[in-house]
Amino acid sequence: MFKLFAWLGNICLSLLQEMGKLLLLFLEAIIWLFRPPFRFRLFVKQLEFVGVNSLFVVLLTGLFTGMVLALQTYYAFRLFSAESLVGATVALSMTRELGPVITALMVTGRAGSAIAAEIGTMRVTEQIDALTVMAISPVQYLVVPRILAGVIMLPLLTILSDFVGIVGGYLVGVKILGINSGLFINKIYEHVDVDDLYNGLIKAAFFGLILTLVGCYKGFYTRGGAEGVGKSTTQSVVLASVLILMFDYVLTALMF
Amino acid sequence: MEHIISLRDVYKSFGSQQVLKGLNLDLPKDKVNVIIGKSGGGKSVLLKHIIGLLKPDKGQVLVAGEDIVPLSERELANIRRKFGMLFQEGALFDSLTVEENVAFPLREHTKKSWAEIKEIVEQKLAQVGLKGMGYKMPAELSGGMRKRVGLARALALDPEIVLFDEPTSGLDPVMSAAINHLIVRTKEEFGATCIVISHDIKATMETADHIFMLYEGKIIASGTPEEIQACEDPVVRQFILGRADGPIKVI
Amino acid sequence: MGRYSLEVKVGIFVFISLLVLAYMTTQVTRGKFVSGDMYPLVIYFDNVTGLKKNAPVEIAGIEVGLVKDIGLENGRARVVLALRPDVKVHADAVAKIRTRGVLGDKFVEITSGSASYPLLKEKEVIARSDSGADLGELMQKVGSIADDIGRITRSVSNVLGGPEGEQDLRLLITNLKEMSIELDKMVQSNLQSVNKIVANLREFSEDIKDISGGNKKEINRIVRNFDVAILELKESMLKMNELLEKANNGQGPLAKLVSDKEMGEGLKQTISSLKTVAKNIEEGKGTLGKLINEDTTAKNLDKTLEGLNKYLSKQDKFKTSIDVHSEYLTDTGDTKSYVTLQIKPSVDKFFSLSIIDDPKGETKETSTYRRYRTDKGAWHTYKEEEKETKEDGLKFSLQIGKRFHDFVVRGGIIESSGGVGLDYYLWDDRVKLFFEAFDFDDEDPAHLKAGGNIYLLRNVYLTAGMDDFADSEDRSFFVGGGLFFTDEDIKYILGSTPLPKGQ
Ligand SMILES: Nc1ncnc2c1ncn2[C@@H]1O[C@H](COP(=O)(O)OP(=O)(O)OP(=O)(O)O)[C@@H](O)[C@H]1O
Ligand SMILES: [Mg+2]
Repeated sequence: MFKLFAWLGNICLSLLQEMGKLLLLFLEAIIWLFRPPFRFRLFVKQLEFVGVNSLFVVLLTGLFTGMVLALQTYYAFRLFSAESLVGATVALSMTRELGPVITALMVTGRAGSAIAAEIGTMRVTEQIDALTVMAISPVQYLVVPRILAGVIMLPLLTILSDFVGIVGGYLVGVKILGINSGLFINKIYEHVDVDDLYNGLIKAAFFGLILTLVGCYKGFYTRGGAEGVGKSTTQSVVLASVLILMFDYVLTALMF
Repeated sequence: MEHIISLRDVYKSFGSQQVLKGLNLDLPKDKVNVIIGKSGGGKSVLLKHIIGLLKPDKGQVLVAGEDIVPLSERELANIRRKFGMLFQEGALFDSLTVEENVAFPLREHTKKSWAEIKEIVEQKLAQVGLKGMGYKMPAELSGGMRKRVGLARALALDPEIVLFDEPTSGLDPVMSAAINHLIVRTKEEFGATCIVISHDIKATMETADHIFMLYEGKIIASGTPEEIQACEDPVVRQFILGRADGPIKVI
Repeated sequence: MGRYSLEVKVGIFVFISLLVLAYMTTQVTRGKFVSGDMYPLVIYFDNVTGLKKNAPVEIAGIEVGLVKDIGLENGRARVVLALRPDVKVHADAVAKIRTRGVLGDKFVEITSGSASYPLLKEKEVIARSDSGADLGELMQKVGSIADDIGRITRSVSNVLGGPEGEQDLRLLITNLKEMSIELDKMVQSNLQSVNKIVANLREFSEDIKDISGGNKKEINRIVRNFDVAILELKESMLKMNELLEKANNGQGPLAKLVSDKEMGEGLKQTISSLKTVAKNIEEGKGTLGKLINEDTTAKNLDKTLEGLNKYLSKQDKFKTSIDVHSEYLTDTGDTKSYVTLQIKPSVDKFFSLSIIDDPKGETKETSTYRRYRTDKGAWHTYKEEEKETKEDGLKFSLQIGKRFHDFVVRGGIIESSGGVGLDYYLWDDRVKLFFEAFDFDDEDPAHLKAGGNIYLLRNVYLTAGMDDFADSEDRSFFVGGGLFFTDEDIKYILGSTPLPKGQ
């Protein structure tokens, strides 16, 4: 019985410790962000890595999400002859919720894991020690550009995903299911607000922060060779996804 | 004799494994100091203490008279600018080419133009026998080549103190000799203090000014090569003669 | 491309994303109203089941605003509407909650009311809501009417108090007397309409009696009758107007009546005086004594005021503003300061002139080639570079810009060299993102600068961003703050609001 409590207590403690370390890394990154020099090229490289290179998957998932959303809501709304609302539903769900979340999950899988693996490898092969020995802050050199790139690129990717998702919804709704296109679009105008769009983008920026920060954190504290790198990579994806969904709830509760 | 680095009563454990047990060490300035000791005995750990990558559980690490143990990372960074370090596994940045690796400290810490940096890089690479290899990626190099690139990088800034973790292991005899020669030259030309870890006893006797023997977490013997060779201690004797039987147990 | 291909790729990506963002925001805001320039009106309902914030408000089926807030006050629902500024609602407007569509979306429908009632101003109450015209509401209305009367009497007594006032009063009374005679005559000849009015009034007063008797069921009927009464009253008034018009022109059956020239003049004068009084009382002006007293003065003053108004309104459109801000460059520790004068001939266009104190100053580079001979006799050529930096160089910018929705495109001279800029405004102009490019010479990459301003208050803002980020040597973060004043703020600060006196 006591063992159980001890076990639970240990889990809670290690969870708290993990959150604390994550937060400390974040604070350290913020401090280093404002210290010269700013490594512009590294930053641009990460912009490309996190943003540009994720474009294809994000567009693809966005498109199919919009399409399937249109299909599903169509069958439900037809029951009470409100098919014209399909467009508004797709647009609202995409801008507020699915655009940011799906984009963030895709980028976590693609870039977040890669960040953890890359930094983890650098840790186990002593490259991070080498940086430290050369009097260069690994946080500034490795973490800052990645986090910055995440915060900037996620909203941009989300915008594209939103747009493509709505286009996908339009294709399915209007071209395949035969909803009147004027009604479809007008209902979007009627129900979607700039705030929906912007709040979705704010969420995306948060998710960008979370997924890059978790990737960096897991990489940074990697132990134990190739196996350790593999472990950190998996853990970073799991932790980032969980945190994204949790924060999604919190942010939604705060904003809408 | 002036001591640039001193360790006072340093203890370090990893979990239950005690690696350093009250180690005392004084390294003279502007000399080639070689640390010998058995594999897994804590030499690399010792080196990492000197540059502040690891902090002792107890004890002091003095660099030029200042205790670096309580210093913050930012203060440490200032002290580390005096150092260059070759890691046992090279620790090259695998996203950068050989040339960019060697140029890295120069770009970060000097205001030299790219042309000047390139010139220095060429020269350093030539010294370690890697002329014209600048375009390669670390993954395309052999183990020995990687080590030499690491060496070139450690020497790029002509630092005051250079730490070499096994610079010649994994190299052919000719190349080993060249590297040993380079270490001596580094001391003589730039007046650098060299701290070398080595398993090559023969070469050590030729190049070292001072030799320190690490055993069971302590320095058990130190002195010039002649003094070490004349040492009566059975552990030292077994080690420098390379015998399987004696107080050092392998199995 | 070469070395820049990475940057170019990222740049294209960012550019396209922002383009899609701009497209989506403009699409989504289409036909919606910016909450900033809407004005609020209040209505009380007994029951607002299903009405949500942001529900549309319609007049005659056209969306004119939205429901801004719903709250409980003394057991009734207090609904705040935000209406477009160009939509006018009169005091007798009626608000209803209506339902539309299969899903039962609720919205508020209002009638704009009739012109004979005053316009409702900001935060005033639309007294008639559909959920029941009960006694309380009637009392409320009576109360507000009493207030109005009180206000009018007060201003009248202001006008008429004092020695000159007495004279005015005498004049007014004479005028009134004259008018009543005329009116009497008019009424005589128009007995039928008057009778009808009286009959209606009688019916109305009977209804009121019923209400006070507590017969709640009759309320709706009463209100209906009230409406009818008002309608008929209006009709009668219209007829009366017609008569007066004809009398004025000296034609129609009344012409005979007013054929007496003197009498006609008198009537005319009286009516015009009355009109002026009414108008001025309504506007609550204090200089009325004079206005009524001396016709010529009044006319002159009127003209002057009109001219002044025209002038002022022209000035209004021609907005000027001054912006002072400083940026601290984190890499060099220098401070760069800007003073900008902006003139806006219309809402979407501007010219701006800035003076910039740049700590980097201006750098001129000259290189000379020299040759020397070494000991062995070979000739060597070396380049001697000379950099001349003018300390604290003052630079200036002169730009012209145009705003499209949330985007501003500007260009001209930026920091003493040709350049272009792009601004993007967010959140009702509380945040401004900007990007500018200038100094396109061959020596080094163009000077690129990007950042954002956050307007904490109307006149105070923070700014941050990155300066000269294409140039690895001069690139620096900057943070700073600024002040921003429009001509109105300055007028206010100086305390010399040039408005006609006597207000
Ligand atoms: N980060 C670490 N965590 C746990 N144990 C460690 C760590 N670093 C070193 N050790 C342990 O400390 C001991 C000394 O290691 P060290 O790397 O200093 O050996 P060494 O003397 O350099 O050996 P070699 O000559 O083979 O390089 C080893 O037993 C090793 O297991
Ligand atoms: Mg070792």
